[in-house]
Amino acid sequence: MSASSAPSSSRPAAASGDGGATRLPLYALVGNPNCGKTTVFNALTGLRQKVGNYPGVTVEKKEGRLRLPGGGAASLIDLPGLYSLTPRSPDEVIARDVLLGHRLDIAQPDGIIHVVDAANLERNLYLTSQVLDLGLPTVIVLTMTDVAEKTGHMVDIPALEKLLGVPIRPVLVSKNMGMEDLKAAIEQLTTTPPPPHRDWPLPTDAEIEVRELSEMLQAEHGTRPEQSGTEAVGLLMAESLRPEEEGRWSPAVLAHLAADKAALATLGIDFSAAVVEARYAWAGRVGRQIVRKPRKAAETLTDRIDRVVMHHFWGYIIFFGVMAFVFQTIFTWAQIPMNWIGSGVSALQHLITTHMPPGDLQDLLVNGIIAGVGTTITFLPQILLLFFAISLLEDTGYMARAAFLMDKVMSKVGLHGKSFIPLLSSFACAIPGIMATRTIDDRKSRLVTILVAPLMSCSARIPVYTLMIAAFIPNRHVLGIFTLPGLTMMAMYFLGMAAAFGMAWLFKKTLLRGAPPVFFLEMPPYHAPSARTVLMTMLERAGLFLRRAGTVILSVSIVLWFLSSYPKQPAGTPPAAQLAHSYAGRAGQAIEPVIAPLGFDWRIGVSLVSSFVAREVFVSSMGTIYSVGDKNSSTEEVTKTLKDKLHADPFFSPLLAICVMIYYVLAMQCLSTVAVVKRETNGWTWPLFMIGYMTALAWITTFLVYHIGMAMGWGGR
Amino acid sequence: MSNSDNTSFLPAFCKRWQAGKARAEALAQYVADETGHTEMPLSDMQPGDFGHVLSLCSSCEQREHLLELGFTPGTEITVVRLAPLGDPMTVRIRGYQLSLRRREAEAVTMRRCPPDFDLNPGLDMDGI
Repeated sequence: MSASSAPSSSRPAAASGDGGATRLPLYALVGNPNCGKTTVFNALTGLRQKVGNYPGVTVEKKEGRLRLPGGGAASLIDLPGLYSLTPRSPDEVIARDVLLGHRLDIAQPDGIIHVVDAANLERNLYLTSQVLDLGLPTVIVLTMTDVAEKTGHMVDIPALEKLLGVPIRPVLVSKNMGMEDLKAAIEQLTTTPPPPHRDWPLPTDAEIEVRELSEMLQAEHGTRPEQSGTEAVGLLMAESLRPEEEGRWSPAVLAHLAADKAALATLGIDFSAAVVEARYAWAGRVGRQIVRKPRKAAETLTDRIDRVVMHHFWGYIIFFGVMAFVFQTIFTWAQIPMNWIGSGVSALQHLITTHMPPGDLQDLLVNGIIAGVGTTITFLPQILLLFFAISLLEDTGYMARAAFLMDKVMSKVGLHGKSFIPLLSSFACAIPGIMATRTIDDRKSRLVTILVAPLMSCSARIPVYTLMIAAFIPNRHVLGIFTLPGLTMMAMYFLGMAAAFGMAWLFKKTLLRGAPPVFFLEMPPYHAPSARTVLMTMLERAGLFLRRAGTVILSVSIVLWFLSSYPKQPAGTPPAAQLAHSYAGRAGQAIEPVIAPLGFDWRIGVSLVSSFVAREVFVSSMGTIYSVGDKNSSTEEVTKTLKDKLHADPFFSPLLAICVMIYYVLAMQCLSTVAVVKRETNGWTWPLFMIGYMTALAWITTFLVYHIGMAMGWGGR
Repeated sequence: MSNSDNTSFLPAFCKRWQAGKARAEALAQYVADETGHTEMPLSDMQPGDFGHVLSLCSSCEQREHLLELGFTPGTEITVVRLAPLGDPMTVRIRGYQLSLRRREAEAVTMRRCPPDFDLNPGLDMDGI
């Protein structure tokens, strides 16, 4: 049952992801959030990176390959940014398990590259003390020495190197300083001795328990002597062990542990507090010895910026300005490249239609594959631009301030200040919005944000609203300045927001109940964004979307094309009849009993089924049924004539139009979103739950509106 | 988009005003000792106030997390600001700025220094 590591020479050559004959050395990159770790990772690996997920959890796994000056190479694994290796959040659990070699999918790293922020040394040293305790060869990368110097903090690097007993390399990535030295030090990691034994004494009684337990671990499990101390401290600190930990240790060890804990309790020693205090005392001692700082902290640029940016009045003006900019970027400016893509796709479709004999193959190519690829890449401009904005905000340090300003408002529905940007982005499109939730570290808050994000009215709903409003809402002035169509549109947006906040509140009260998310957020000093980090983030997100969600979107688009094109009717059948007799059409008719209580008939049913790919398909589908153009016609063309046809149809009424709109506000009519939620939550549970709850919410709300409306006699025209 | 927030801003501002009055009453109950230091929860300290951590509540959920963030007894803390809506608050601790909700800050009992207190007398010779 021993899962603890064997000596490094016999470690399995597992999962480093490159099937070479000799396994490359694997190094882990460890550091605090905001310490410049990502920048260092990008500078070391360039584009040779791979992003994935750890199996079964939503923690992101980043790996890369590093070329060493001597011609060799090394694998690099970028662990999530951490303040501590105490396993509290999923990030910390993973980082600890990787570093201790407890994961089956990753071999224990051969060494650690530990990134430390020189401008924030004392706090960073707390993690350093835990990293050094792991007993793995370590090199420390000291970042932000320029920032430290600006505030008058001088770090004595040779003295620090001597105190910690590991090589330290200062690096300024933006000025391209120190990278070669760092790479040379990494190359030597294979021969670097592990750091010396820990230098933070505990109270004697606690010290004895740690020694006994670590000796027992060495004897029972063959734990490396350098690592046994860390394991022992970890076991003694844990209030309760996770199930996988229980299985890791022998009954004798577990019994001993329980006895130790009882003994410490009788002695009145709070072991965890003692460890934390001893580590901080060590960090304070080291800090005092090697950092010289000015007596009175001068007001920094960050303080001066914050006085404006966090001002009670100007703070919000700036905040709304920044948010308006983000929103403008994805809502309006992204439209320009999206239109290029749209016209490119239809030009290609047109080209194929004119040069290829009509038939099933042509139809599959034009309306299945190209339409599917088209749908997928239409999202790219929004994703790229949103992540451009987000990484700019994160990299400069404004994101933390935005979360700080919005936290109170978001906490009303049990969410986190960081949920604001994902929800705002979802007005343009839920897909980038949901992808943006990765900045929320509280798992439940992140899930709730993902679950309610699609309720915010996205741009794909606008064609549906526009069609229904144009056909049925009279263009009348209200109170002089407002018009009825405008107000209706706004009402739909408000309905979506109210539903999102209401459901968030409900989920936090029921399904994802828990203490309100803790809001501990570092306010990093402002600094100029790095073009490289911003670009890498954009590329990384776009790549992830194309690989994971894009493939699902494409294949489902083809399936839906098949369902709405087969079985084939004899040639010459009008498109409306063809659609009505297709599998999708039959499905639409089959669900008529289910949607009849909402006042919908089979024609709306068919459009509901086919617009499951994307909401705007509703318009072209209705267009086909009402024999306005065919499925190749553009939405605008169809809307123009379709609104008159709908208006002339006695079946429709303004009430029914409102019902259709409400249904589209609330229902999960977007496969691409489902695909992204599947990727982001790492499984099918939540996307399926999302489809279920949103459909139920839409059905019930529409049912109530329809029947109350009918009872009030508003069903007429 | 600003519409979405008007709905929650207005009541929030009213509430804050009322909460402000209630807090003024609460603050009156803290009395300084003969050295001018005052024992009070971190959540009730105002921007510009500074002091040292006296203790953490013994059984609250976030005790260990707070310890790990650096809130160990004796640590010097300065309140930098309150968010415009009164919550969360930003403090300076161990050379960095951390935001936390007042709910969590309640768990930290502080010994607030008098405003003219010198935090590091005699430590000024080796600067720059």
